[in-house]
Amino acid sequence: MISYLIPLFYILIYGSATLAAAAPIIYSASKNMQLAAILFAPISFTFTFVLVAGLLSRIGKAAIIQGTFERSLKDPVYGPRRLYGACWTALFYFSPLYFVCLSLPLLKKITFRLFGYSGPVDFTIYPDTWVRDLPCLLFEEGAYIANKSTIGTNMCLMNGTILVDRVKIGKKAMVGHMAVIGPGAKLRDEVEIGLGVTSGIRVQFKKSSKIGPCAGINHGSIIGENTIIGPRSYIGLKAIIGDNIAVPAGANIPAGANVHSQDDVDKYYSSESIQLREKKQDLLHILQQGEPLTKVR
Amino acid sequence: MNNGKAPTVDIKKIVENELYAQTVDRCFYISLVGIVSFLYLGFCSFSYLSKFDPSITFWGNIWPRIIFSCLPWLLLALYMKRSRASNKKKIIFWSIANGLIFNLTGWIHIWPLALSGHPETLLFVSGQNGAYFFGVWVMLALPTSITLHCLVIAITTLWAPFFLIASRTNSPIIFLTTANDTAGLILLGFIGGYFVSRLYKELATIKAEKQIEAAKFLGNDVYSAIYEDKHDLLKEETRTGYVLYIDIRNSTQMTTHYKNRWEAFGKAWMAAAAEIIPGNRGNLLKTGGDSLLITFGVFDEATPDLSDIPGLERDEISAENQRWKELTFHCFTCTHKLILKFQELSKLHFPDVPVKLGAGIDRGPIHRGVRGSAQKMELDIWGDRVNCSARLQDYSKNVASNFEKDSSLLVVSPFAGDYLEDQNNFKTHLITDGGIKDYPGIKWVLVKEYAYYLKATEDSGLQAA
Repeated sequence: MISYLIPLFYILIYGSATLAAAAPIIYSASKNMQLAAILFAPISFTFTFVLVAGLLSRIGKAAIIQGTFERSLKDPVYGPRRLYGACWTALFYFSPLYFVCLSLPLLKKITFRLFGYSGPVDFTIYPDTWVRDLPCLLFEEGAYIANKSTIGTNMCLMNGTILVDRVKIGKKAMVGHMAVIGPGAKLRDEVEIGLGVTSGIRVQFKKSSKIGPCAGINHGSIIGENTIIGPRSYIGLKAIIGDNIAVPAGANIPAGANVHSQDDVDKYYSSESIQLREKKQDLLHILQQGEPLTKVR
Repeated sequence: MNNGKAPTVDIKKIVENELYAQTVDRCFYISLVGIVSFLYLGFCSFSYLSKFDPSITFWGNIWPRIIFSCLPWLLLALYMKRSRASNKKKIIFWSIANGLIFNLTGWIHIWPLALSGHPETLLFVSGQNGAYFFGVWVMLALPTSITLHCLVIAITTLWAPFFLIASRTNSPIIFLTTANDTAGLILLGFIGGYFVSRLYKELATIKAEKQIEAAKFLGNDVYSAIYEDKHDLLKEETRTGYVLYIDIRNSTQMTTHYKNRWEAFGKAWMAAAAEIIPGNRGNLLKTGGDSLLITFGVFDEATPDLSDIPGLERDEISAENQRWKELTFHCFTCTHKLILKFQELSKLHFPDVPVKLGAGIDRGPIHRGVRGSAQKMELDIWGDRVNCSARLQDYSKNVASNFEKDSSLLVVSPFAGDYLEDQNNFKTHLITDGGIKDYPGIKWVLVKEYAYYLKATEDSGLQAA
C-alpha cells in the first residue's frame, strides 16, 4: 500500500504546485495578466509545493517517534515513516525551493511547522545541512548548523532495523561544517562542535563544551561543561569527561574511562604527551649521562 | 558531575537570575491589570469624551480598546509567561510593548480630539497618565542592570509621542502641564523603582546566601536536584559500584574515658575524611558517630543505555571493564589513604593508646534514592551490598586474632577483589568459623593489615588503574 502511495504523493505535490503556477497563466484574461501570472508563478509554485508536501506529511507524522523499527514497508511505524520521508525529501532535494524556504523567515517557519517541528525557528541552517524527522528535532534560539553537516536523527543498523532518536541542539550551539551528530545527541547551550567531528549515538555535550576538528566521540559518551576536546582526539564508548577539562589533541580516551580532573587526562596517552615525556626523559638523561636517551628521528 | 564536593555556587548569578525572574513575573501581572484597567478606561471616559464629540457612541469607545489595548495586553501577558526568550529580553520587549500599547490607546479618541481643538482632553487623562507612568515603574522595580535601557525606552516610546501630541495642541499651558508632569513622573517612577529594586536585591542576596550555606551540607546531587531542577538525580535506581564501611573500634570506651580528647580527635578525623573521600571520587553517605559509609560509582553520572544498539556488545564490555578498573583504583586508594590518615591522627591525639578501625568493602548493585517521609527526606543507599560491607567490617573483629593486636584491618569480599590487580598486600582468609553473619555463602575474603607501629608510606598498596 505504501509503495503505491509514495508515487501518488509525488504526483500530488509536484502536480498541484505546477497547477497552481500554470493555471493563472493559462486562464489569464489579458496578456498583461498573463505576464504578471508568469512573474508570480514561482511564488505560487513554492507555496503550493510546501503546503501540499507539508499537509501530506502529516499523514505519516505520527510515525516519527523514537525507537527501533524493522525496515519494512509493512512495519506499522516504518511504513508511515516512508510516507513522511517521501514528502520531506521531495522538498529537501528540491534545492532551489528549499533554499528559498530557508531564506524567508515566515516561509521557514511555515515549512518547519507543517513538517511537525515544534521548537523555536530562530536557528541557522543551510540547504545542504542534512536533517530528517523534524518532530524529533529541537533547535534552540541562535543555534547554528553549518552546511554539509549531518543531524542524524535516524540510523540504519546492520540487523535490518532503523534506530530513531531525538536530537537537541541548545541555544547558540554550533555544529561545524561536515560534522556528524548521531541519534539521541544532546547539545546544551553554547556547545561548539568543530568541523568534521563525528559523534555517535546518545552522546551528551554539556554547556559550553568545545570539540576540536575531526575529533571522534563514540556512543554514549558525556562531555562536561566548559570542557575542550582537542582536534583529532578519540573519546571511547561511554567515556565520561568531566567539567572544565582540556583533552589534548590526538588523545585516545578508552571506552568507559571517567576523566574526572585534568590530572586524569595525562593517564591516557596522546601524541603530545608521548613527545613531552620523551623530551623530559632526554633532558634528564643529558643531565645525568651527557647524552640523550632517545634517538633523534 | 558529582564528585562529592560541595557544589560551586556563584552568588551574583543567582541573585541576578532571581531578580530577572521576579521582574518578568511582575510584568506578567501588570499586563493582566492592564487588560482590566484599560477596559475600565473605556467605560469611564465615554461620558467625558462624548461632550467633545457627540458622534462617539458607548460601544464605539469600547470595542477599539478591546482590540487595541486589552488584546495586546493579553498577548503580552502570554508572551511573558510562555516565551522561551531570556528574561532580560522579555523585560526589554515588555518595556517597548508597554509604550506602544499606551500610544495605541492614546489614539482612541483622546489624541485625535486633543489635536482637533480640544486639548483639555489631555488634562482629563493627565492624572491617569501620571499614575500610570509613576506606578508602573515603581511596581516593576527593574534590576539596576537594565534600568537605563528601560528608561531610554520609556522616554522614546512612552513620553516622546505624548510630548509631540501635547506640543501640537496649540495650548502652551496644557502642553507644559502635561509634558512636564509626565516627564517628572516617569523619572520619579524610575527613581522609586530603583529603591524598591535595591530592597528586592537585598532579599535575593539573603536567599542566595542561604542557598550557598545549604549547598555546603547538601552535596552536589541534592543541591542540583533542588536548586537547578535536576530532579532526575534523586530518582530511585539501581547502580553498580563499591561500598566501603569503616568503623572505629572501642569508640564507646574511648568516648567515656577520654571525653574532650576523643571529641577533638573525632572532629579532626571527620574533617580529614571529608577531604580525602571526594578527592578520590567517593561519596560520604552517612556518619554514625564512629562509622562511615562511603560509595564509589553509585552517584557518578550514568552514561546512556546502549543495550538496544546491536554490535556494541564487545565495546560495552570493554567500557564496563575500564569503569570497574577506575572505580577499584579509587576505592582502594581512598581506603588506603583514610586508614593511614586515621592512624596518623590517632598517634597525634593518643600517642600512648593504639586506636584502630575496621573496614569492609563490597561491590555490586546498590539501590540509591530518596527515603523518608514528607517531613524528613534523605538521599540514601540500600541493598545487599551495603549490608554485606557492614558485615565484612564486623568480621574484621573475628579475624583480628590472626594479625597484630593493634592493627587496623580491611576485609574485602571476593566479588570486590575481581578487579584488584595487586593482591600481594592482601591475605586470603578462608572462612572456617561461623562465617560472615547473614552471608554464609561467602567462603573466603581478602584481608589487609595496617599495622599500627609500622611506618606505612602513601604509595604502598596503591595499584595502577
